[in-house]
Amino acid sequence: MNVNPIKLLEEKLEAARPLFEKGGKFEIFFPLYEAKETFLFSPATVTAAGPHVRDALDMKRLMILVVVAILPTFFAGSYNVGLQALAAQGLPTDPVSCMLKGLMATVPIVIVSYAAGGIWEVLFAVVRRHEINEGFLVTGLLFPLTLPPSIPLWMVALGISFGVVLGKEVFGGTGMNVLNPALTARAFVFFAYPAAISGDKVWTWVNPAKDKLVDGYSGATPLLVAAGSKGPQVVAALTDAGFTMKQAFLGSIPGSIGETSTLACLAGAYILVATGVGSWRIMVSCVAGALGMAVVMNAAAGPESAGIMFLPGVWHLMLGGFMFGTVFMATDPVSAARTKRGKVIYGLLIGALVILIRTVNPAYPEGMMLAILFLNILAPLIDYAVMQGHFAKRKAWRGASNV
Amino acid sequence: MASTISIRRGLDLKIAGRPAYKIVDAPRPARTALQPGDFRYFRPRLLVREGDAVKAGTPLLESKDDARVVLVSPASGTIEQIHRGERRKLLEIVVALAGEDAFEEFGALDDSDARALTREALVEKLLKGGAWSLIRRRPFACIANPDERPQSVLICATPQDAFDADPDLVLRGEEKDFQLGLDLAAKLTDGPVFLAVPANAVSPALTAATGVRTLRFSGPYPAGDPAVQIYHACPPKAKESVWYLRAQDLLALARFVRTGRVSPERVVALGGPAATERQLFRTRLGASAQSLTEGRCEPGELRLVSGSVMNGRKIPRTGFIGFYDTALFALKEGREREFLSFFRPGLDKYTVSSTCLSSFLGKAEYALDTNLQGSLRNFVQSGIYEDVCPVGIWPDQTAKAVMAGDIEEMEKHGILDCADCGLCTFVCPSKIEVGAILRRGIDLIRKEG
Repeated sequence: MNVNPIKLLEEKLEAARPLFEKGGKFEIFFPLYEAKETFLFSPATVTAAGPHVRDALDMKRLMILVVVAILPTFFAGSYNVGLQALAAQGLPTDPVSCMLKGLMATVPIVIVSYAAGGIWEVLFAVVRRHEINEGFLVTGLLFPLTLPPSIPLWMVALGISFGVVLGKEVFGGTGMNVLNPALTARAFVFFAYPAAISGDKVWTWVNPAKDKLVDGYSGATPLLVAAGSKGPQVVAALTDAGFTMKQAFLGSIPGSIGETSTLACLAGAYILVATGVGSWRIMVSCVAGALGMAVVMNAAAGPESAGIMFLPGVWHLMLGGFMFGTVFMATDPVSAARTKRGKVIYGLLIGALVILIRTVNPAYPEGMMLAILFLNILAPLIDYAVMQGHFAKRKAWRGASNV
Repeated sequence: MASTISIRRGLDLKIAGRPAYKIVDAPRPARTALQPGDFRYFRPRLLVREGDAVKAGTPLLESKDDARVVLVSPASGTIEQIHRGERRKLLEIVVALAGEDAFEEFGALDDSDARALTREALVEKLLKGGAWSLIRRRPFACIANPDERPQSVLICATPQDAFDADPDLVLRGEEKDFQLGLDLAAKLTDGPVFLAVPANAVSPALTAATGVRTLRFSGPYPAGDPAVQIYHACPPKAKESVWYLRAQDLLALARFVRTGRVSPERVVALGGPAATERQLFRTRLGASAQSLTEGRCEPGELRLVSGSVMNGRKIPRTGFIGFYDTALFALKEGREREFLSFFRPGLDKYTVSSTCLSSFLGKAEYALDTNLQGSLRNFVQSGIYEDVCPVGIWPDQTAKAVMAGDIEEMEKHGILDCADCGLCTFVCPSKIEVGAILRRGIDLIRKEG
């Protein structure tokens, strides 16, 4: 007998539909049914009125493309987690062991993030009777990549819960949120459990109490080294600590899981820009803002200033979460500015603010998260200002163009 | 001297099924209909009953707001059915055609007498014979107000899209009547008359027209739309209006003035991926769709659209072509479901974005169906809507002003310039009916203003 298994699955799903529809036994689980069903099969809905045909791009394809763009940072980051952990213990660092060791650390974190956040998503979808938002596929992967590999799993669950519920769902779900949910989650962990996500002990996936570490192991991130050094010899200080620009670019430095490899972030940026999913305006202006501010800071640095004041802008781009934040966080279309000119202003300000926080604020050697969250809050104001300009321009054009 | 205006924003629709560039006679339809829904903001008062005998030109409806504005029967015969919808809303007045056409006579004029008409006499004649309804105004795209003097008049002699009957072809041999129409249009305004023609127009009716400012329009859809043309050539100032007629409507108006009879002849294009015999048909105003589609469309569940596929009206198989429409578009209803659709590279999918592999391979045409291609979500993506808007609106921001009910903000956004082209809705990945939201805003302004 020749039965098409896909057709069979479609029929089975269709047969189960009455159970989940109004009056059915599992009525309250309709969003769950809908999510699973539309995940497997594109919906059969047709247009109600003109335009009678529609573009093939939908939210699912959009979000899946973002996930695809994030994957290089996940794999590069996992590899590096393994590399750092093995190197710290003086164990052999062949590619296969690095990758395996790394995945052992990162996969559970990602699974916990998806699972814990997913439960909230489903709960809200069921209670609010709306559909499950695909945006969570992105949030649930972005958040773990902003964490150090040594993060306790319960903190991952708590953090993503905070991000999903207070960062997004209380506002009405994907599209209505003010802040980037993944960064909201990270900010929660950052302020609630600073010891688990800052300092120099968390970036390498080793247990100092149990594992035997090599001599001279420090665990500090390059940003910490730069912030801790004094005077204009900052690049030399970095080199002394074993950080070269090549390492920073490829990503073999300690840091949060996904942020270390600039190369992987650029691969993601390429996918986002080539498909038109991510805004190149935001990415470019972020970089421009950071480079500009770095020049200002370099010029303002005195002989007694902290080393990071002297750090060239190019280094800033490759250290910490700058590139990861620029490519994946700042470009979140919901929490970013929506107007074109607004995006440029928003990006420039993020870039400038990051460098300002890194150089001037002694409490935080990293500023990407705070800069983006702050600009998320300012984005509607930026859009408002840009729109006033748009109105004035339209009015002037109206006055001038008449015959 | 013709000047050229190129419209930059818009979208070239890569949809299969363009009609061939030739006109054939369609069989005489058994029924025609007048559909009050074709006239925006028109509140109809019914003047006939089912079973009444009518001539071509007999008033069927008058406006509750201005009884001088009447809509007349497009054919002679009997009122077969008065079709009402929810809350007794008038949908269709169906006239069953009987024998040769009998006409209401409104007085024939020879060419020089017609040109000698005063504005008042012309307006009165057009109102009486129902030809007034051929003239529309912007803003609001409704029938012109006879008491108002428009800032200018635009005659739109461009096809709406690649599936529309091209006036450049339809007007061949109609030079005299078309020129008469242009001269009459000039009487309606103290300002200029603009004639919008395709950039590559060759028909003498268009290229040799006199007394008008000819504008050659080029660009992607909807460069052929009168609303877009008015926005770029002669946008109405505050409190002012611009009147417009599409070429075939102007022709009908001129013929009416010359012969004193309604002129129901229309050329309508049949196209779309589900139409099998695609060409232009010489048929009648308000003709039943069946008289064109019978035997010329694929079997199966089809969607018929009167007008453009982007903003036309969905009509049933037994429906009728709209009053201002010169195209009929047939496509399949898209109820097929695709397994793991969004994991596929999308070689056969049509998207403006670059999110499918097809975007990079550049297929020329796609046999699109009516599938929504996704499900409804909140606004997420930004920057894509204004990229396709032909009238410089930021549609997603404007839609938010509408949802907030903020009329002042809507007007600042220029909502009244919206051409209702449907492109913002077409591209929306959240599948929000952006264009319909803007229309709701315009309705609100109309009501409150």
